[in-house]
Amino acid sequence: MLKDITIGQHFPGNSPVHRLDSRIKILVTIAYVVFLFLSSNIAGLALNIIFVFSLYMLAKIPLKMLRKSLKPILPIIIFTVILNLFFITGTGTPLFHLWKINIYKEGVIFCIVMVIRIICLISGTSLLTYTTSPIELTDGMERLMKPLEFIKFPVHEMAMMMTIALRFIPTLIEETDKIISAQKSRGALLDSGSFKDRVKALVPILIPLFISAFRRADELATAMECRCYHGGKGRTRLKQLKITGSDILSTVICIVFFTAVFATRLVMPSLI
Amino acid sequence: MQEMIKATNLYFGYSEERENVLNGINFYAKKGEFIAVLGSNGCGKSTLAKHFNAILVPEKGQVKVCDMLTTQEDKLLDIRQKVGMVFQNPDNQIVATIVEEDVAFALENMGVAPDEIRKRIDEAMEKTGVYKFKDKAPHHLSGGQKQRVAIAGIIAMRPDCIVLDEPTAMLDPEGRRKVLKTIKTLNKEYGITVILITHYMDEAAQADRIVVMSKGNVVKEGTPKEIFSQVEMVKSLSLDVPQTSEIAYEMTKLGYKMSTEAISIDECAQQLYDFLKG
Amino acid sequence: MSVLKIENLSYTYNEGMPGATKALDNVNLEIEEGTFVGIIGHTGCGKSTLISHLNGLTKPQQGAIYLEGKDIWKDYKDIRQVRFTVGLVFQYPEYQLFEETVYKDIAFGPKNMGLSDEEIDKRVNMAAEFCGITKQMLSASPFDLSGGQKRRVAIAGIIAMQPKVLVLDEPCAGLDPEGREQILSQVKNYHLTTGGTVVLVSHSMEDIANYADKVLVMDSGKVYKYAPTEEIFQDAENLSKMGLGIPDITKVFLKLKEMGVDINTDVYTIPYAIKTLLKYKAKNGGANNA
Repeated sequence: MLKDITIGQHFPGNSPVHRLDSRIKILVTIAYVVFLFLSSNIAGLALNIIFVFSLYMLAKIPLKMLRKSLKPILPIIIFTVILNLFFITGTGTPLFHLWKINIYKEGVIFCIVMVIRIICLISGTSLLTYTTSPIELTDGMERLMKPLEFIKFPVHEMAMMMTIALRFIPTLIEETDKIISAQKSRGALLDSGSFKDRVKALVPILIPLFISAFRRADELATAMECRCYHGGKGRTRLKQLKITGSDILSTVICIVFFTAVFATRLVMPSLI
Repeated sequence: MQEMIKATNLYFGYSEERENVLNGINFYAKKGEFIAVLGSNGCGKSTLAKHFNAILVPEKGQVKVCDMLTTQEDKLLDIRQKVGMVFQNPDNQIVATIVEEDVAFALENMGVAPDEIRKRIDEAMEKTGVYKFKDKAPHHLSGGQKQRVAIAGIIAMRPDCIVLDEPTAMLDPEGRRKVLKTIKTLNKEYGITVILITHYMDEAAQADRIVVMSKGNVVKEGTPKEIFSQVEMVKSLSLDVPQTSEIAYEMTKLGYKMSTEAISIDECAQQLYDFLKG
Repeated sequence: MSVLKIENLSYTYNEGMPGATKALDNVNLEIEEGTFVGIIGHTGCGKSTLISHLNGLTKPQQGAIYLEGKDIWKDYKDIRQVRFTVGLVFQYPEYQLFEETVYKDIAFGPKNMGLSDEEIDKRVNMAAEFCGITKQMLSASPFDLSGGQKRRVAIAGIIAMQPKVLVLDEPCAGLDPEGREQILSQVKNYHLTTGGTVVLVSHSMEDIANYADKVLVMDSGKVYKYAPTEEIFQDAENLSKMGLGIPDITKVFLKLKEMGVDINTDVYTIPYAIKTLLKYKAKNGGANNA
């Protein structure tokens, strides 16, 4: 069902990971992704796994959630594995062969590395959304992008749009579920027939959904005006972002980790 | 008493081709009053309400809020701070993804300092009884709770007046009761002027004054007793009377003289008691 | 014969998850053909889950639903037929309108049933008439209508399928008194004319009291009581305690009882209240005079 989507979900908590300044969290996540793809040997990958899983422990996010967020990308993982397994040719003799396809050691290793990277990528980025409320996230991004205002980039407007989008995702998902049920009750066939039939069957769902979204947008705009909204000028914020001692400490720890990952590249040969 | 809102000879239409929605209406609200506005769908009550905080401005005539004309552009934010508005659909007026952030929205827009925001939102959430949900996501709340969050977001601005456009129409009886209780507390204990647009006669019965609208004009006004005792007039405007007035009306028709002014449960029971024991 | 029979129906949301909530807990129910059944209960009592089972939108986790004696999930392919037989009108049904004209929108259901154009036309006109939709409105865009009119169009869209059972979830939510009255009396008229079974879910005890023959009171996923309307209101005190908004007139009679008058408190409509008052007066008033 639509309701099972977990990407972008937030798990409120009070762990050090939750408390970390959202700007730092965003920057660390970006750095993590970069270094993840820079690590290609056993030590580097192991460090990445240890890093992300210890953060999960620290944040007290149940690993079950992780499993759930990995599930939708499982087909992608399997597809990558199969493709790489069959098409990477190595030097030496093949490990074994199936019918006409040879499978080499290099292919197997490459697959393992890829799978580890994808899993680490998803778990790392999910951790950001699990531990940061969407509003903190937008807030952090808004502040990180502040310098862009000099080139007339509408930073505040973008942030506001994102906040509203995040706020209305659950509402619209619920609404979609309801419209689907309502049209099914009128005998609409949604999951059978040819491709053309299926596309046509979407019309009775999409039109009411769009109309409703526009109506909501209109009412929301009025409600925002009623609450003195007049753009980003002169706005203050309830939650001030302040870099604290523990933020600095966490940053230092992360830098140490990233350096370690990078260092493994220098001392150990790459697997792929 | 001082006049909070005063609309004089107000005309408004959404487009040239259609009939005017407001036809020279006159309306006033005194400071601290609790007014209920009744009228069937399309009588112009929502349009009138939107004039009270300059969401709409008159085509002809004028609206004054605390002696400020709603057409004065430079007073716009002052007017909106003084007159807050709550709408029917609680979902479509909550902006933020966390309750307390939403309550703070107006204050952030007004440029209030963060420490002060914290103080005022805590106070607003206490007054409306939503403090215990302050860290929750709005979509995890019930309709009634969401509506009280919306009210808290308005109260945080410390308005003098709050206009509610059918705030209970989408709620269940439990949610309705709590929202109405909150509204009454704001009026009685904190002296906030309340203008409540509603279809529920039992809600209107609790107001100080009822204004009945039809076709863009005020057709009747008075205390709940004065309005609901005129059962035939109310019904002719396709509205309802509380069952308490209705039974007195029906009994009178049968020849047992009873007062249709007994609109509270207790008054009505007393009247029937006298009848039975008399 | 009962048109719908619900046997040992249970349903839990998020089963096996931390936030699991039991929405239905061993519900047993029989709806007789041709009755007007009202369902009340406060939010979260399971009434929405129950009605989504009635037309096969939700598959039972436990138990079964029999439509005219046949288990609706016995043959998976028949489920669409079930939806035509048990017509379900959702809350705020006007939000599901999508066609260019009112006529086309009402015809959507019958079209899905695979009926001939002639039959569709007949049914659209029949449904429009029941719901007070004029010929002029039929050719208009549904989005140009007023809220109450849109709602009636949506209901007509279900009636046009000529369901054996018509289920309405809060059909009056958000309407003004006139709109409420209009929709309910149209539903009642439909019920009386066609003899079809109607299930009405409402928060308003007044509406249920005025229209239903039989009432189902639900409380935390269970059937609290299922009985003829008069019987339900004999229990008014408990209903009030459950947080259900009982009619004002019932409250007045409960108050009278509290004041020491030994009078029936199963009163739920004005005419019935007057009858009860006069009966009491005739019996006891005479004694007082003597």
